[in-house]
This record gives sequence, structure tokens and C-alpha cells, in this order.
Amino acid sequence: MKRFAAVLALLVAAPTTVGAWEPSSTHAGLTEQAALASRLHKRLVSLGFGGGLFEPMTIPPADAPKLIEALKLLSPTHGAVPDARGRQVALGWLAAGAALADVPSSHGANHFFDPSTKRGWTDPDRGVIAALGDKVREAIGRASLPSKGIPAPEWVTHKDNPFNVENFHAQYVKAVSAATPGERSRHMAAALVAAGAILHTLGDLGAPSRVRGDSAAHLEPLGAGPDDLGSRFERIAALAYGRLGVPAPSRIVTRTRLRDFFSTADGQGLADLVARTYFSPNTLPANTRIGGKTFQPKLARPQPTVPERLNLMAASRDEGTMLRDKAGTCLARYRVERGVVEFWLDDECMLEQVTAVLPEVSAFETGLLEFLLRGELQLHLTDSVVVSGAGLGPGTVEVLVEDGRGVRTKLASVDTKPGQTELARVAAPASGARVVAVYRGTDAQGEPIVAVGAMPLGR
Amino acid sequence: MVKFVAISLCLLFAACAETSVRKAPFRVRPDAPQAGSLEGPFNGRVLDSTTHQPVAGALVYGAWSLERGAGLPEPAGAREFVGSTDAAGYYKVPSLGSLPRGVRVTEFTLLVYKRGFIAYRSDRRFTDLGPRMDFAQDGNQVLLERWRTELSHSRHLRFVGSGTAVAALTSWELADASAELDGKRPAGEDLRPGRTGEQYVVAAQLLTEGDIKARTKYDGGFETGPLSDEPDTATYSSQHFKALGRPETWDVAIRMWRLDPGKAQERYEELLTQLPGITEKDDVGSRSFIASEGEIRGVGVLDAPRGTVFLITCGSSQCTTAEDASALAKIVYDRLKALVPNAGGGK
Repeated sequence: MKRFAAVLALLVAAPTTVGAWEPSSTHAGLTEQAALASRLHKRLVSLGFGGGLFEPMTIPPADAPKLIEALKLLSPTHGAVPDARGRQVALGWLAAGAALADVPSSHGANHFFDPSTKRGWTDPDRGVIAALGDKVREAIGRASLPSKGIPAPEWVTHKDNPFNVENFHAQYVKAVSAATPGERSRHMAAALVAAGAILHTLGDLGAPSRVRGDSAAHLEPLGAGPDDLGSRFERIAALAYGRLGVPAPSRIVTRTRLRDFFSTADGQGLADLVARTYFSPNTLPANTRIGGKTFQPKLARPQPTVPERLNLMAASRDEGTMLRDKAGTCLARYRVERGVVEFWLDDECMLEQVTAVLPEVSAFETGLLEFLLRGELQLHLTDSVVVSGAGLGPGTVEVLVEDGRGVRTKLASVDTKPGQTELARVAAPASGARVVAVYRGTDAQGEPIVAVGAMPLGR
Repeated sequence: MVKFVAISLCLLFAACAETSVRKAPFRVRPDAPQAGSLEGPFNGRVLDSTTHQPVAGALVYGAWSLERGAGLPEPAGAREFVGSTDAAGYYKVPSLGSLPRGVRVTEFTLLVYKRGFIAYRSDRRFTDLGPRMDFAQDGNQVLLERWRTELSHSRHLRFVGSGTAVAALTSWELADASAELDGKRPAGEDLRPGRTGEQYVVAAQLLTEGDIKARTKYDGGFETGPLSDEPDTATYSSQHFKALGRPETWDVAIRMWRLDPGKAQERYEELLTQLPGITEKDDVGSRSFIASEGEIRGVGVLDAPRGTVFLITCGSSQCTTAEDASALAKIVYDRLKALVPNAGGGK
């Protein structure tokens, strides 16, 4: 209640605004919560990044000028901007990926997926005048909206996506196998950027308009000039929770396939869940005249449904009343005007939805991060180093030894077969501080996977 | 013709506006209902929430977020201001300058940080991470709370954000933050005042500017805050009274250790062996000494029943006699007794 009053007060002061779950606030907060709830800290420590999530990692600006340039577009107060030397903690790099997934803005069009049509973003028809306005903006060099987007579940593996799963895996492997600590730090930072962007793409599907084919909801006129268009729902999330107030995950969602986090045939993906649970501004029940035996407004999607009996007495007030789901969350506000029931979404209702959906989004993002990090190898030392792992398909395992200076050299590279538990047996090194192993291949489901393991040697 | 259409539509939709600015989510002044301006300028004062004394030399970091694009917007850069509070705790952040066309200002965030205190953000509170409602563009008051050991460094590092200036000042927290995630509290004693039910006392509560002025008749001002050599912890706190516009011989400082009785005794013995010009007096608390070196006078006191040791240092211009320093020590001891009643009934 306190939060609601505070947010409403903010909305009064700042009555309009923005676009997606806001990248540097809501998205950064979601990925931070996912990281804190996941095994990432322990994984980083086990791989030699002793500070875990608070391990400083450096990407020298000269090595990745475009990335650093893009990061300079963000405000440092949101925790995702490295210092002048390209250094920030692991958690910051993950948040940086979450913040950069919308850069350039055309990439933001690939963060939509309607499970009922399997389509992503389509530029909504806004009428002749708005279209002319768009042409003008184009003519004067402003960003124009893409006509179509790649559906989000495809975008995370798409070749045009610089932060796709393939790149995450490539950087993650090098974060283990590269020779020097500096190189490994750079590759791990890059892997975290990719992971953050992948989480962002999934997290966007927590906004109802993105999963109900409602592109127009992202073009609401918002306060600061004619270009300032966006989703009010997502702006409310940013105002209410910012980056720091984003709730921790309600649970950790487990899926065996990457795509299943987005959508499944039996409706267990985030997009499925949100699409059937909430309305979006332009997919509300149609205005419907009362009078028949039952009240059955036309619905844009089969779910959520509208009860046959509404509280028409309460709905006759100017402010109407709220339609709530079984959990008590507002689905829409409705009122009766001249015998017609009208539905709309106001700020209070949307804030309730944001409050209900964010822990779920956080749960899916945490699950996805766990999925990306799921590959684990066990290392045992007898007279040789034995590397084993369960549930892996064909691939290659590389075994390396790290010396006292932190430099890693390859001991062996072994091709593995499906169903093999012992992946490699390598003669124990005569000296070294740690042995590490990294596997790249597919898991039992045929999904690409990188599995890692480490063991101190103390020799 | 195309140009004409473009210009006409620009006029119609104001699509060619140079730079647009969102409405600020904060007031122009603390007592005014009107919204402020994201563009600034901003000013205010930073005070220690415990003593309400000004905090000088705190980092004042302002950042503006810029955005462009419609419908699917993207970040368009940030502008930063890095400064610090003056001797009286005041800060000023100048207005945001000119910006490229087509860019809009979407956010301004102010961060105030000084080691030993919880950082302040203009948009969020540290305690519950809820939206801050009391930030104002003009005449803002920042009350910095002292750091306490039971607080989380990982939460604090997330809270302060990133960037060169902030990262440099907060890097000392990284090891503690990481240890927290490992399930270990930072190394060292962990008495955690306030968690065990005991009275939480910091040095700033034991000696005030008024106490000093009443004793020494000093008519100038002080800037106050923790000493910069060591941050406050669960077992240690300090307060520095830096005389404004005067040499260090006008300064006064108090350091306080709250330990268990055995360790307090050890700490007191350490002071006895480490400090120069020691004369044991035992006229305050369980034991006491005076020390002197050059133009600095010191008084150390052991309060054994409370497991407390404090050391007052006072420049010779402020404390012209050893009795002045001893009188301040007596004030501190009396206040300590009042704040922390001794269940054992000792002296």
C-alpha cells in the first residue's frame, strides 16, 4: 500500500513515459536478482574468480571498442558501466548485458512473442497521420520502427544477435581455457554480457503487450515530446521498483530446453503464462452492452476469461470497479456507461499486475541463468586426473592445468561419446595449483551445453 | 516539396524539437508542491544523521540519463558531474548543458557517498530500496546514516552503482561483499551492536561541538565526520571535529572501541605502550592516562565494566592545558554511563 501510494505520487509528478521493461533499471534489477539467486557466484569462485559476483573483471576498451562505446550510453548510477579502464565486477557485466540488449533499438523489436500466432513484433497500424510523422522522423534521421521483429525465442539463438547463446558458450569456454588470468577475466565478462542480454530477451516476455500481439501498447504518447513513446505498464514497473527494488524470484523455474523457458506446447513458458493471465491495453475485453442472460464480451484471446456475472452496482460509479483474478490481482477496470460495460487498464491496476508478475519473471530468468550454467564436471585425482559428467551427449572435453602464476596450459583434449560418464582420464601433472576442465557439446536433450569443473591441486 | 511537407509536419507534431525533458519525479524545493527540473541545477546540504553536523568532503555524483527513439527507445548517453561537499556540507550540481538534437533527458540521479556512512541516492532508500520521495532540486537535505557492521556490503555495492568515481571509493567493500555471498561474514570481531540487544553507541554521541566550545571557549566552527584513517565498524567508531579555517592544533577527535572487557583491557594496554608521553592518572573511568606529543594532547580511558576504551586527542590551541582534555574525557565518560547503564553496577 505504501509502495502504491509512493508510485502514484511519482506518477502524478511524472505522468507519462517510456518503452520496454526499462533496460538499465528493471532489466538490470531482474538479472541481478537472478544472479544472486543462482549458482553463478559459486561457479565463478570455483573457476578461479575468487570474488565471485564481486570479482572485478576487465575488458580493455581497446579490445572491444564498440561494446565500451555502447556502455558509455548508460548512466553509471544503474551499476552497469565499467570504469575508464574497462573494469567492473562480474555482477555489473551481467547487468550491462541486460541493459545493452536493446541497443540498437531495432534489436528491441526482437523481444516479442505471441504464443497464439508464434509471431514477434509487427509495426502497428497507427493511421495516416502517425505514419506521416514517422516518415518525417525518418527523413530527419530519427530512428524508425522496424516493420517486423524476430520472435524472441528465435532471437536468442539467431546469428544476427551479437549476444546469442552460441557467443555465450564461446566466451564461457575461453573464460576457462584461455591462458592468462587477464584473458579469462575478459572472456568471462563477455560471457556475462551475453548471458545478461539473453535473460533480458526472456524477461521482456513478462510484459503482457509483448505476448499478446499488442505492439500498439508500446506507442502510447508519453511525456517528453512526440518521440517519447512507449509502454506505460513497463514505465510503472520502473517507477515502482527501479533496479534496486526488483523482487527476488518467487521460485526457480526448471526447464530442460532453452525454448521451453519462452513457450511450450503445453503452455509452460513465460510467454504462455503471461499471455493467458493478463490483458494488455489493446487486447482488453470488448465494450459490451448488458442485457442478455449472460455477459460474454468478445475476447482477443481465449484467456483470461471474464466472469459471466460482474458487479454492475460498483461498475456504475465513475471510477468503475476492478475485475480481479483468483489470486486477487487486478485484470482490468470496468464501468457501465449508458448500458455498456467498458474495460480499461489504469495505473493502479497495472501496478498490481507488475507486482504479481515481476517475481515470476525473476523466477524464469533465474531458471534460465541456471540452465546456461547447468553443465558441471567432476574432477578426481588418483594417479591421474579423471573428468566425469552426467547427461552429456557428443562433444569435446579439454583438460588444463594452472600454475602458480595463474597461467593455464592444455593437458589433453578428448572427444566424448553420448552417455559416457567418464569423459577423460589424463596423467596427473607434476606440478600446478589447479586443474580445470571444460566440455563443449550437447546434453542428453540435444541442447548445446558447456560444462566446467575445477579442482585444486596444491602441488 | 518534400522539405515543405517535412517542415509542416514538424510544426504540426513538434517532431523536430531540439531536446525534450521528462517531468522530474522530485520537487523543486522541499516545501514546494511543484515538480523540479531534471536539467538542474541542484543544491543541498549533507549532514550526519546522528549528530546533524555537516559532512565535508563527501562524494557528490550526479548522472543524467539520455534516450532517443520512439516506441523502441535506446539509451543515448549519460552526462556526469563529480564533486564533493564543502566544509559546511553544502553541494552544488550545475545545470545540464546542451545536448544533441533528438535526445531526451529521462532521468537524473544524485549519489552522495562518504566512507563510514551509508550512501544516499536521490531515487531510492537503502533501508527498503523503496522510492525516495523527499529529494528536492533546490535546498535538498541529505542525512547520511553511519555504517553499521550488520549491514550488507553486497547490497550496498549494488546500491551505489558503478562508474569510475564511485568504483574507486567503494572498492574496499568488494571483499566483504564477496564473503557475504560465500556465507561468511567479514573477518574480525562481530559484536554487531544493535543485534544483541545492547545499546548501540557511536563516538559522535559522546562528544559534541557544544561540549568542546563550552569547555575551551572556542568561537569558531567545526566540520565533523568520522576520521578518515579507519571506517566505523561494530567495535570501533570515531568523530573528528575539524576546526574551520584553522590549523590542526584547533582540532579535536574521539576514537572509541567497544569490546568485551578482556579485549578492552588489551586495547588499553596497547595504547599505553604505543602512545608517547604517557602519564597514568586513573582519574576517569576504571583507568586513564594523559599523553602528549608536540602540539597534541591525548586522554585515554578504560571503562572496564562496559568493555569500552576511548581516546580523545585535542590540539594545543584548542586544549590549552591538559586539564581541558581531561575535562572533555570526563564529559564523554559521563555520557557513556548515561547511554549504557552498567548491569554489573561497576564504577
